[in-house]
Formats: sequence, structure tokens, C-alpha cells
Amino acid sequence: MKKNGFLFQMKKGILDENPVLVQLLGMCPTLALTTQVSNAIGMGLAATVVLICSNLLISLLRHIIPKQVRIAAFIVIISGFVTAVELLMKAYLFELYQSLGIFLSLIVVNCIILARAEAYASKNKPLPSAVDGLASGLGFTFALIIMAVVREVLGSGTILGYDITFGVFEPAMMIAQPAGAFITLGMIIAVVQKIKNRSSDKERHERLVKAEPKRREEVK
Amino acid sequence: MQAKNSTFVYILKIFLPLLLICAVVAGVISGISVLTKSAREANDLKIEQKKEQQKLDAIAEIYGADAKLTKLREAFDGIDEVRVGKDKNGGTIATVTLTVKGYSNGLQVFVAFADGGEVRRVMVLASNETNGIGSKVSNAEYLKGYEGLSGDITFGGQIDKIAGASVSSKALLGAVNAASDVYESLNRSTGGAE
Repeated sequence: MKKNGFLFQMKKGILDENPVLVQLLGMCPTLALTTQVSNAIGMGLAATVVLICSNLLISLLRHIIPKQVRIAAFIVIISGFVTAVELLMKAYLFELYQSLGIFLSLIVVNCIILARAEAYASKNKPLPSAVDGLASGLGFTFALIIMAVVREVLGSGTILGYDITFGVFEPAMMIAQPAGAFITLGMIIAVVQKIKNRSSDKERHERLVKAEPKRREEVK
Repeated sequence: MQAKNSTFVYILKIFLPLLLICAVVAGVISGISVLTKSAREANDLKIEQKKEQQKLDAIAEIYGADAKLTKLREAFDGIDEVRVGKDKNGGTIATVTLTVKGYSNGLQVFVAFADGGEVRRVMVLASNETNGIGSKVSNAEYLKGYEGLSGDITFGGQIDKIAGASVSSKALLGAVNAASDVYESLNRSTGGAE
């Protein structure tokens, strides 16, 4: 996989440096909006679109914005962009706006967008910045969906609004509450870290095994 | 003097691009707002028309297609709209629409009463309650629990709170009881009709 290639960036954004599960960004929408899978999908997709477009615009303006006021400039651009999208959707994509409306306003306070603008878009060319926005957005959506599936199934006994208990189990309301959100997120992050550490442990072991015959030769 | 000038130029070099970006963004948003104003107002009107149709459909279903309810000009504090009429036996029937604050602002509730103050229908016309938690107060199954009740309704025996959504549940109960108070005052007097 070519470093800085499309696939490398996608893998980095979705898995290796997932904004929620690895970088612990965007905690507010992750905890507040994952009571239902439909909310998670809506928020994730809306944030992804804003990420791609704001990264692109900030990258295009990166040589104009002075370093000393870059954060203020990024916030103005991101909030202006979200406001414009909200106005246009309310006018011309009304049904979609009604489904997503509340999520659009919340995107402005999503720190993932500011973090990617500062860490990547302000230092790289437009196309890779747009890809980075796509990767981070998809990573965010992926994390939200995992959280929402767990919380909706265990906390409400439904998935996408459809009842799946079939009278077999009672949902645990606590999982749908804020405390349950923190517990669920903590457990998912623990599982993700375990999987990541296991693969890096495996790579380290393979390196040691390969180096062992060489070391024995040297000792002789 | 030269140092002052260079500081001023330095500050200008930093803030001018920021001011320019703010001006451009503000200009773009204003332009989009002006261009989309009529389309947005048309969509807001569609929502109001949809709510009005929901109310009319509910009135026709509950009281019959030939029922005539008129909007009152008389204002009630905190009430959006009151419609009153007479049923076949000359009893007072009424619908009350009001907006209350639940977990968020803007929980708009429609309550229809039969003669004697019995609740015939409760509908949530608009809600900003938390999706998946407070929004459950809008479920038709839950709202059916209010049908047939009258007087001062309380949690416990008559209707249950939704677990985890007590604020939204209390707000809805408060709205139905407030509507009931309006019905009682209508029953005691006659209001001006359009």
C-alpha cells in the first residue's frame, strides 16, 4: 500500500487513526446521538460531507490565512459553510433537511472538523485534503454506527426502529441513558485497542523471530 | 514612531485576511439567505398547512364530517388555538392546541375533547424532544393512553411516565391538563367566534 496513497489514507482515517475510537474526538455527538442507528447514520453522513468540503476549502486558502489567526479563520469557514448548507437544504431538499436538520446545526461544534483542518488540510494540497476529510468522516460514521447498534439493540430492543426482542429479552434502559453511553464507548475503545495491540504485538514477534538466526550467527 | 508603524502594519497583515474571510463568508451567507428566502418560507407554510390538515382530519374523524368547530378570537394565555362547537346533542366540544416546553422548546400538542371534558384525541404536532428518548411521547400507542380520561390527570393509575423521558412525559401531561382547564372555562362561558 503506497504511503499517502488513497487506500493508505482511507485505512488511516477509518481504522488506524479513527477520530472517535483512537483519537477520542467528537465525543459529544458520539455519546448524545447514538441512541438510534438512524441518528448515527444521519449525523455521520452529514459530518462527512462537511468534512470533505471544509477540508477542500481550507486547503485552497492555506497560503492566504495567516498562521496567527488560522483557528479563527477555520471556525469562520466551517460555520459559514454549515450555515450555507443548512439554508440550501431547507430551501431545496426539505425532506432531507427534516431528517437531518438537527444534525446539521450540531456539526459546527464537532471538533473532528477543526482538528482535521488544523492537522491536515492547512498543510496539504486540496485533493489529499478532500480524501482525508472523506476518510475521517467515514471513520466517524463507522464509530457512530457501532455505538448506535449496541445501544439501540441493548437499550431499546430495536434496530432502525424495528423491534427485535421477539419477547426473548428485556432491553436495559440504562444503556440508552448517558451513563450507558460512556460505558459502551469505553468497552468499544477497549476492544479496538486490544485488536490494535494484538496486531502490533504479532508484527513485533515476527520481527524478533526473523532477527533470531542473525543474532545466533553473530554470537558464534 | 517607526516601531509603532511596523506593529500596526504587522497587526494589519494578520487581521486583514481574517476580516476579508469574515466579510466574504458573511456576504455569501446573506446572499444565500436572500436567494432561498421564498423557498424556505414556502416550506414553512407547507408545515403549517400539514398541521392544519392533521387537525381537520382529526376533527372529522372524532366528531363527524359535518361537525362545525369555529376558532375563537378570545385569547387564552399560553394557548395557540381553541376551536369550539356543539355536538349532535348540543354539548360543548372543543379542540385546544398549545405549545409547551419539554426537554427542548417547542412541544406542540393538540387535544380534542368530547362533551363533559373527556379526552378524545391527543396528537403531537411538532416536537424537538431528544430522538429515541423524549420523542417517544409522540408515539401513537402512548398517546392513546390519554383517550377516555378527564379532569386532572396524574401519573400512576391513569397514565404512565415513559422510562428515561420523565421531563417530556411531564410536559405532555401538563399540556393535556392545561387544555383540560381551557375546556372547563369554555364550558362555563361562551367565547367570541369568527
